Amino acid sequence: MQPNKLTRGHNLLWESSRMMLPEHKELIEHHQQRIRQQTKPQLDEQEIEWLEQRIQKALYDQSLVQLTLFDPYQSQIISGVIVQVDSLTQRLLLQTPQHQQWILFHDLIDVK
Amino acid sequence: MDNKLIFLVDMQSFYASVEKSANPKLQDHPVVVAGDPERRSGIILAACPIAKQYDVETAEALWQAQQKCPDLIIVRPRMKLYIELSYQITQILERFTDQVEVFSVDEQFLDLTGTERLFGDRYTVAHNIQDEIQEELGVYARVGIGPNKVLAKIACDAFAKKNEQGIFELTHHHMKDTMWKLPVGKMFGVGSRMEKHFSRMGIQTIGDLANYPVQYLKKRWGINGEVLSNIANGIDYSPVSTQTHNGQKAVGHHMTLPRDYETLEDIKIVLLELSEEVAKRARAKNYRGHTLSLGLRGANVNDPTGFHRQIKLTSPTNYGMDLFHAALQLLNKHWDGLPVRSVGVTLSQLQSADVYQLSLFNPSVEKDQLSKAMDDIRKKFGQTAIVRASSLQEAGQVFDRAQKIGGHYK
Repeated sequence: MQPNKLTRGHNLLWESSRMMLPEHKELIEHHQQRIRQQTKPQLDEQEIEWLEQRIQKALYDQSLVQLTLFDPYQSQIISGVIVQVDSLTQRLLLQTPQHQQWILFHDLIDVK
Repeated sequence: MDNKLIFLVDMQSFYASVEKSANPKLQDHPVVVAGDPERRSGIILAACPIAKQYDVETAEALWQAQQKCPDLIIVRPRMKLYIELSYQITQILERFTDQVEVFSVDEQFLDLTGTERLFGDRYTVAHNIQDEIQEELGVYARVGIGPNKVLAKIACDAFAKKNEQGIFELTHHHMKDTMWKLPVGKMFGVGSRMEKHFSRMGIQTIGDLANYPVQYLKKRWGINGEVLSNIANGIDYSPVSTQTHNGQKAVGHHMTLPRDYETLEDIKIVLLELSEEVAKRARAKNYRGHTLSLGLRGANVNDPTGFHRQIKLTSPTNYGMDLFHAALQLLNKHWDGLPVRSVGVTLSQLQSADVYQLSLFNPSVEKDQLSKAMDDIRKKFGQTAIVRASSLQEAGQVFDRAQKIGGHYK
């Protein structure tokens, strides 16, 4: 059912009666986005080593891994099989169901 | 659910107060902010308390106000500044809670549930809010306090605006002795038309409405009947939502014309301009819309004519010409031929522009590229760098609109 003004937890009663200039809305939207912005977690040596081990193992086993990539607004999780690790350019090649994709170690915050 | 600590913070004559604190010379004079009297926007947008002593009212024509108060100082609106300052107020309020919902340029809701131990009791917090806004922006704020948004809003509108401290609390406990005594027209959600209906039903006060059997109200007005009954009883479950401005349901643009437009040719020109503007904004937000509505108001204010109709588009679009053709179709069908005072075009049923159905006979790639090229040119060289040739005619409004926000100068 479409929510109406009586639906609990919805804000339609107020949203339907307010007057806001689009320029004002935009400003608030930007503001909210800035609030939600996160800083990248600092990984310590052990964690980095631990991530490296798991990457090596996943590469060796050709097993499916789940990588968490940092993004200031919404961390991204992608899964696939690691095809190649290039330590010179600090990145790895991931085969996802759709395509192959290079991922920078710099963006990685977790490997499962 | 219904027992939170909600504040509604409202700025007294916001635009006028801002102008006064920006220019201290105006401090002791009656000041109004008003649009250009040469054009239709020549109405009072805000009047300072001194001007209000002369019975100057918001929304009346400038000449009427000048008759009441010959020494009136008239200031042109600076919309961009007001938006900027409203945003600063939001940031001041966020010192007290992150739950701040902007309701309009001069009203904001706060959910302060559970902050008593941080900032003290509700009256202390309300005073602190007033002081900080006064000190930093020179604007007087009034605070309505309630267990939900509806009571906070009514506490502010009907009581805090009128009392000495500018602070008032409405609770379920004592609303019967205060709010229920008010005429029903003072209630949030009741306009002049509704007030007339109620008066014919013998409902004079908010209390009368609260005690009126809800099933009759529901039968007559459906959901809205029940909503009004709830408001009269101080019931409101709406959350204070910070994300309320994100999900957009429609992109619309509306303008009041500088003079009444009487010919189809003239109306078509602004219709195309509006369609282009709406399409441009939809593209900027990466939306396509599936429904277009056109609203038109007649020139005679006392005998309101006009219509508001919508049409489903063949496929979701954000291309100005598509919107224009649909709007024109509505215009041809519903316009009664009488002079027109204002026109509005709205695109709704929005969906992401990333995914869309390819149409076999109406290739959209070209349109996309064309639209994108125009957007890029406008971004780089200004909004009027590229316009439709029809806008060069006398009836065109783009050049005028480009200097404005919300129909008033930036």
